[in-house]
Amino acid sequence: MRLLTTREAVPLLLVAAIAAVLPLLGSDYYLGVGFALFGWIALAQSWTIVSGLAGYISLGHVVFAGIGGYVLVLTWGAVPVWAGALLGALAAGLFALLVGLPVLRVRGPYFVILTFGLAEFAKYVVINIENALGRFGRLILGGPPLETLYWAMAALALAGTLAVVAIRRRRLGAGLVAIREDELAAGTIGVPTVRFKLFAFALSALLPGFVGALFVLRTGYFEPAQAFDPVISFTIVTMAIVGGSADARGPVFGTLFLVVLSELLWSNFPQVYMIVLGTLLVGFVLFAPNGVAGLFERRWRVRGAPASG
Amino acid sequence: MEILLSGQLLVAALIIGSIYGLVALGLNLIYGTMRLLNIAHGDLVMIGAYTGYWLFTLAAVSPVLAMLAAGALAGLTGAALYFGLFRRQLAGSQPIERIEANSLLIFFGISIVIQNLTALAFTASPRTYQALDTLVRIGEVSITQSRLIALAVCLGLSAAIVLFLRFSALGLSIRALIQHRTASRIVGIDVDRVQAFAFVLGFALAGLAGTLIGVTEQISPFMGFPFTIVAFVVIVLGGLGNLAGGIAAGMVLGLIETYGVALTSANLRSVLIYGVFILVLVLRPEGLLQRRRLT
Amino acid sequence: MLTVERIGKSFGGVRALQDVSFTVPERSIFGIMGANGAGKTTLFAIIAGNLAPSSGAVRLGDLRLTGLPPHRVAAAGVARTFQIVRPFRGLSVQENVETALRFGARDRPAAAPADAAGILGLTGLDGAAGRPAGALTLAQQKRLEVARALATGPRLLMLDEVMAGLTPAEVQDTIAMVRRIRADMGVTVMIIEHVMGALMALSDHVVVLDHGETIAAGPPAQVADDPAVRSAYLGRRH
Ligand SMILES: Nc1ncnc2c1ncn2[C@@H]1O[C@H](COP(=O)(O)OP(=O)(O)O)[C@@H](O)[C@H]1O
Ligand SMILES: [Mg+2]
Repeated sequence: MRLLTTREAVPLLLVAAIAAVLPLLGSDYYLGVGFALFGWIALAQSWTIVSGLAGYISLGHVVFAGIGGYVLVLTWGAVPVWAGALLGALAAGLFALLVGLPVLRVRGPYFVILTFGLAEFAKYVVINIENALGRFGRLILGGPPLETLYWAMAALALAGTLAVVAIRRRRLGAGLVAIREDELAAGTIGVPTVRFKLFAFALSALLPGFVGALFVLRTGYFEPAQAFDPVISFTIVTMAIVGGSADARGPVFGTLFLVVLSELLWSNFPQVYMIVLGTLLVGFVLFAPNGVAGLFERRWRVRGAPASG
Repeated sequence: MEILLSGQLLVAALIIGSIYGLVALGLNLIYGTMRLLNIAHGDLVMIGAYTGYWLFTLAAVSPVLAMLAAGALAGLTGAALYFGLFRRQLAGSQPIERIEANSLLIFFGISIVIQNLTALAFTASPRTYQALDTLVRIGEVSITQSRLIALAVCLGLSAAIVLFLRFSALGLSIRALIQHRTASRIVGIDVDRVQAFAFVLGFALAGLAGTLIGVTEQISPFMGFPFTIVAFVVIVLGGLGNLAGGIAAGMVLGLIETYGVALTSANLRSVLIYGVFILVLVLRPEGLLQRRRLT
Repeated sequence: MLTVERIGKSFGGVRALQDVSFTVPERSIFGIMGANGAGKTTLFAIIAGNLAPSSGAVRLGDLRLTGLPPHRVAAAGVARTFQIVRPFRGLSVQENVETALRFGARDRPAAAPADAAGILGLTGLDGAAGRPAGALTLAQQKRLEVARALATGPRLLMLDEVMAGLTPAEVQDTIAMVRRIRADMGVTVMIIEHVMGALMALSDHVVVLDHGETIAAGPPAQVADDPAVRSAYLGRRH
């Protein structure tokens, strides 16, 4: 196995370092921020597998987190906590496998709006199920303490980052990138496009299922409109695009940036936070399609290049 | 069962359908001519609804007049976005697929900004107002004045625009652009001017329809997205760039929604709309896609 | 090695191919001629599994290709280039070739180059290895099409108008390259060209399509003299 390259090592070390440092600050506030940060990193890395590498941009990734959270509360009390979270992840992956075949036949922008519609559809289905059951939100009491949840989420963030690094090295990653660049040409040179896309989609659903379960454990509460909130999908996309989504660095950079911003703005000025988020998305798509990671690289290259040109 | 056969339900379906048709017409114009996926389209509906609300509550302006103001406001927003952001994109050398995918993300960001600016200005709490609510009886059917006006305006405007596209010079240029983007440039059409016009008209129609919608529906900063979805369903059903087909598809969706809800429950309205949306996209995405050529 | 059996294909009302049959011998260079719109590219797309034929079947040896997805056809050792080039634009030339090396044929011919450097050298792209494919000239992109197809390690290579738009000197280079591919690697080549001379010079066998139908087939010299070809193909062009 080759040694890690810089672009592989940086995000891994960054996640590990943050995970190690935050608890030393000795306050639940920082554990809470870290928990959220790692949650978003895990979500954004998962998104990168299918959207950054294969180019199938999902605007509905919240659906997997919602399913994970829902399965957790459904199995609450019936199975141990962690088994419930694991079942949530598996259910999300299974859902991706089931809907993946028809959904991944739809390409480009239509895939994007389809994923959004799919997540909204799932949200309203769950709302209706809960209404029919006479449930209006579910409380769960006696979940694991914050510190435990913190370490679990840090592990998920690291797992997500490792997954992107590992996939990029493998045939799977090369095939997904080829699909992103030109799906017809990819198939013609021998990339099993259908299988790879489906596999990537299912992989990209697993961790979010887990993350969604942890989110519910942290709030102690499940409410479908909140668990399937489209703002979550939107935030994932923005984080990944602001960071630059072609490798494992982007999600880490973008998430760090936006979580800090969110800490500054969200609780007091939620709308201002959303406006900044929207503006960043527009700005990065238009002017810096390779994200923060790309900006760093360009700066680097420009500096390294001879002055003439 | 009886209610299913009543004229009341049919008229309700036609009203909703005609509104959907008009909202989708604006989206179809913009997508058809420029391949821009305006996912903020529903937010123009929202802007139109607020315009009607404030003009009525502050100055007692009738929605019939307010809708013109709303159209103008939405049109101006369109002009600002076209000249500020999209003109350069469209004139550049990027492949159309790239522009299409980017436009979706850009409009998504714009949508979030518009919604939250509105929430910041007017709070997120839903509002309603009472205007034009006298009941009109036609045979067995009774409808409020406002909905009758909505039906007339939507059908009238849709028809007017279809005729305009068929018979005016500018309309023909728009249709040429919808059918052959690259060829139009060669044929000597002022593509930039036609695009700007279609963009502004598309926005204005959504704003205008928004005022009509706001008279009967709850107004909130986040009311727009369902209309975006509806508009997408309609243009996929009716066929891309097929403006008359889209109006018919609006009617079809109005019927599906009205009768679907009557047969089940009002809670299932969103499930129904998104269900149709997913089915349509999965079953015939090629209705939206350009003809794919294997060469 | 490749058998095309009574292939037909229609797009809506347009009949792009009608009842086309022929056999491509192992290690031959097999030319396909025909005016624009004759159905040549459609034929390649059907063989490669990009398009399903309306009727008929394609076989590679004993293996029925028709009905297989494109990646299985590639795994069986068939590669094609695209007349309208489709490189992986965001990747470098080297990465384009490396990607194809990681996929492609299951059993590569022993003589097939197994590294990007060899393939880039053969196709004259060694100087451009690090450049993004999208930034190449059209002539270079056509060569990249060939390089990427070769990197899949094919037994049958289908070239679709790779010489169109090249200078006469470049055409000569390409002819030499195709000959080398067959001689050094034992690859069977099917080639579509508009450049008549080049095709006649290269091919062992030629098939002429006109409006989707085979109007002549045989050795180049014989086909060139065929009155049907002269009237239908040459006659219209001059
Ligand atoms: N995807 C497609 N959809 C509809 N018609 C097509 C498609 N591909 C090719 N055709 C038509 O089939 C015919 C043959 O095209 P093609 O195989 O590209 O010809 P050639 O390569 O010989 O120039 C043409 O009339 C072309 O317009
Ligand atoms: Mg051709």
